[in-house]
Amino acid sequence: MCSAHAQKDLATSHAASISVGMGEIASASSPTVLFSLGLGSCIGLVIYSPKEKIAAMAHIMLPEGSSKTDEAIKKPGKYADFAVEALINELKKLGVDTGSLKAKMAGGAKMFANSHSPIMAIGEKNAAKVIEMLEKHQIPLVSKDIGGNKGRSVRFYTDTCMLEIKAIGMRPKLI
Amino acid sequence: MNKLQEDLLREIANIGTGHAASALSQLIGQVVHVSVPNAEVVPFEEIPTHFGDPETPVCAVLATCMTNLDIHLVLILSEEDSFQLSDLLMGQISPPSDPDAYEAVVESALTEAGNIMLGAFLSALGDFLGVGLHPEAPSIAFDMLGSILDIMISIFGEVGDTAFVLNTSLSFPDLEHQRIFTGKILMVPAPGTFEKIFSIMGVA
Repeated sequence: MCSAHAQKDLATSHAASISVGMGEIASASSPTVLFSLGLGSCIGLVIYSPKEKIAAMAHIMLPEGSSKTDEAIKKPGKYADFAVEALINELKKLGVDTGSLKAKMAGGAKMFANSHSPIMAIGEKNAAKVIEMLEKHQIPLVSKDIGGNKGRSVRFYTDTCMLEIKAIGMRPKLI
Repeated sequence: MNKLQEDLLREIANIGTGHAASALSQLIGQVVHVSVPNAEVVPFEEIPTHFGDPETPVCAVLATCMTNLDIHLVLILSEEDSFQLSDLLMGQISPPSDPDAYEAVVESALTEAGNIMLGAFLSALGDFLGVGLHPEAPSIAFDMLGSILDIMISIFGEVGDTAFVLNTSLSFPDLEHQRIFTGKILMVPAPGTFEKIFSIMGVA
């Protein structure tokens, strides 16, 4: 398993990669890699076309932007309730057939396991909102790795449509 | 935020870190010198790059105050510094030989050290403002820098667009192998909290 990963890293190291920063959205086609490092309560959401091998990723910070619509329209990737539609529109702009879109997501951890602060539930709320919005837009969620207490780095390989997840002290996995 | 308000936050930083350092000094029985903290107001988009590689392993202790003022304080140490600090703390007891038990003791010692430092920071801030500030039970995380910061930045994201970050370094002049620790304390106010502080101090 390890050597397979090593080969994979080697194979994709030649591909261009795009970092998706907090609250941002980015899109790419095969073989470009989309990545987000050190997600805690944030969510890395990918909506992609498996047929055309084109994907868009959002680095979502908060569940709802509906109370500050002006900002949410300017930065839709920041909010779960705006990001899903923004990703679909991004793919539409690239001429993708939106009927065949699929989604994968990771993140939404509770970083401080013992904390009773209500704000620490933000990861869980982020994940729940993303799932709700995907259902609303009828986009199948193929796989997810959410919750827990560990931060994650995610990379989406547009050539294979696999999402790689790395966390400290754990083997990388592909979902 | 205006100049007067920024100055007030810098003063809070001085008082708070001074008390945090002397609390640590009492805990480990060593003289601790603290540098004048470099207090910065950072736009939140810049925080991830401001602190360096998001995948850097760090130790973070969170203290939350929910009475009178709503504040989250996070102490962030590099993994290496946290091991050095735990050695200093463990020097005072005979550590268990079982590795799992050892890890649990290290974790609890660092949590307590962080809690004592942040508690001292909070109570100094409370005295300064004339309100009682007490932290809830502390919480610790060993994880990637980026993932620790993102929950804090998300709170900022709800509040506004800037964060208040204190960088301070601690040194132990009496130790044979002098080591300098560089710690960061992030002060994360809940919505309306900075405004409350400014109004208490008459600089609203």
